[in-house]
Amino acid sequence: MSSRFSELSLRSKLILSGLLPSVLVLLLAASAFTAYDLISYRRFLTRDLLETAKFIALTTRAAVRFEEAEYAQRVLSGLASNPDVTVAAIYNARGQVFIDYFADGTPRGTLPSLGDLQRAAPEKKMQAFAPIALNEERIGTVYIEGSYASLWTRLRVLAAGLIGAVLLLALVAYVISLRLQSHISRPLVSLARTAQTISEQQDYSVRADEQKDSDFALLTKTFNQMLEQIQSKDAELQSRAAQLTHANTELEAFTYSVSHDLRAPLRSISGFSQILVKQYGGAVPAEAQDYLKRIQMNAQKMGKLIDDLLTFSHIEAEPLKTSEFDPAQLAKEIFQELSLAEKHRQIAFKLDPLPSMNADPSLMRQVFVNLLSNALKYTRQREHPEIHVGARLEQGKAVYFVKDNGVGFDPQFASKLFRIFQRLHKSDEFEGTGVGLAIVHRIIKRHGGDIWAEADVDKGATFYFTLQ
Amino acid sequence: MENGTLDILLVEDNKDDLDLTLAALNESGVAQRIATTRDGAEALDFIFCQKDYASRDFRDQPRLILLDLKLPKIDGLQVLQQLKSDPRTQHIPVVVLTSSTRKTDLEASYKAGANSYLVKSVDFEQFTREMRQLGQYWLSLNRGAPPGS
Repeated sequence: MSSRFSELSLRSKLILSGLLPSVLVLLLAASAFTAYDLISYRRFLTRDLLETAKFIALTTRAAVRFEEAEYAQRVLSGLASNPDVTVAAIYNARGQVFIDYFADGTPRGTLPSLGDLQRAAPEKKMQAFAPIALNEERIGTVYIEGSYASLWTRLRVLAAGLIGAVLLLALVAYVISLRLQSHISRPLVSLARTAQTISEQQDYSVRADEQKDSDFALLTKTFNQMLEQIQSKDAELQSRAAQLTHANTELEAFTYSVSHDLRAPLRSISGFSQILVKQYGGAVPAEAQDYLKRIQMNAQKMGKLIDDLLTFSHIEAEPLKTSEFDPAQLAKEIFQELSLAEKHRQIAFKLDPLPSMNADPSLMRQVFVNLLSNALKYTRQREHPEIHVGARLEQGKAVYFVKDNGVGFDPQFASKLFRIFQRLHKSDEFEGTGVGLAIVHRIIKRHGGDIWAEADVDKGATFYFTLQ
Repeated sequence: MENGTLDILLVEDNKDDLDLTLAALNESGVAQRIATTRDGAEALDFIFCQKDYASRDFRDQPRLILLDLKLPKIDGLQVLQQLKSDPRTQHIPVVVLTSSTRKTDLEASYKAGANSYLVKSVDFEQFTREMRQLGQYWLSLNRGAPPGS
């Protein structure tokens, strides 16, 4: 019932809550009135029967005394004019039936003796007893039994009238609550429609109509204030988004300019200094040749730096294209490519079977290229360089590692390792731009993973990473 | 194909880059007959024999075009589009030779019909090696479209 009520529209709820109590109260009042009326009427009927019995007792006193059955019979027959009397009888002093009367004319059987009649629960029937007395001597008893027929008739008439009245009043109550509810529900429904329009069309400039009613005026005012805040926040968000798009476009233009405009002069520096050494080598003193070589090397270094920076900035810009692949195969290919340039070195490369990866293959290629070329670079001074690529499971997560027995680093600087332009070795010992590990770090973070390193000076380094 | 007088048309606006590319091609020894134009409009005039090049023989087309993307007047992509949309010139191999590593340039170049895309190396020695390989492939190894196609 209550759940069905809560499913109703506001309008129906309001009408029902106006109508239901009035109808209930009306019904209760009508029932109380009917009950009171019926009880009084029954009391009246009982008293009437008793009066009739007393009257018959007086009139038949002589007839009973002298056993004038015919006269007594005539008196009882007079009862036919009273429709409420169904049975009547006169008992003699010994309690035996002297005369009886049945309203429907046919005796229903022998009436019980007076004693039995009085012992039977008198309340169940409408009945009356009156003693027939002569000179203070009881010579008989009058018994009258009534019916509830008129009581039922009265009840039917009453009920019909009252139900009619209740229906009429309910109709009036319905019309009134119909009128009243619209004052409450109309502003609410209008507010709900406004909210719906806004959420569907995402148009935060719409406002709810002002209401006169004080409660609703507050509600619509608050609602409109909230809308104003949403509208200004929305505008703010949109302008932020536009700023971001603009910043991205500028960054893209900047990247382009770095990749194109910074390379061109570098190429000239490198190219012309080389041509100078090649074509005019004899004419240039040895010291000047050394300077020219340094110019070339620095140009190359700067070229590498530009490439690394571009890679670094591209990691965030490109969307991840993930797929499932075997990293062991990738690591093997990359090691073969990288070691081609260092054919003279005897490197012990150990590659364990690795759990498959769900990642961007071109970015993971970059990760292995950087980690493995680092391993190759920092084992350069080792007589027996060893590089080990493997993985282990930690709390259900694959932890991949690239381990070498190279020069390692001081673990107290481990936190600086992945920051851009941070280097832990002198550049004339080990070349590098300080971008490689920052690129690896960014790629791993982009994949939701983690990267860390364990090392010690001259005891090699191990780089661990996880994905997601 | 050997009847033509031209091996390469080099389209490059930057004087330094032009000289370096010529030096690299020279040193690699893959091409002797090289024409140069300094912007997109001039490149189109040269190929379609118009304006300053009106007296040129249209049949005498380069066997390879090396095209920079960033060019004054008409940029490299537009030159590429015009060459590849004209049935008389669409068979000429065009190698985009640029400093740009930008993905959008790469995509646009291939969309416009580039035959190859090469990023110029900063290191001159490396660049010379690349020019040698490029010349060897496009001028010796590669079989071009038959004449009149």
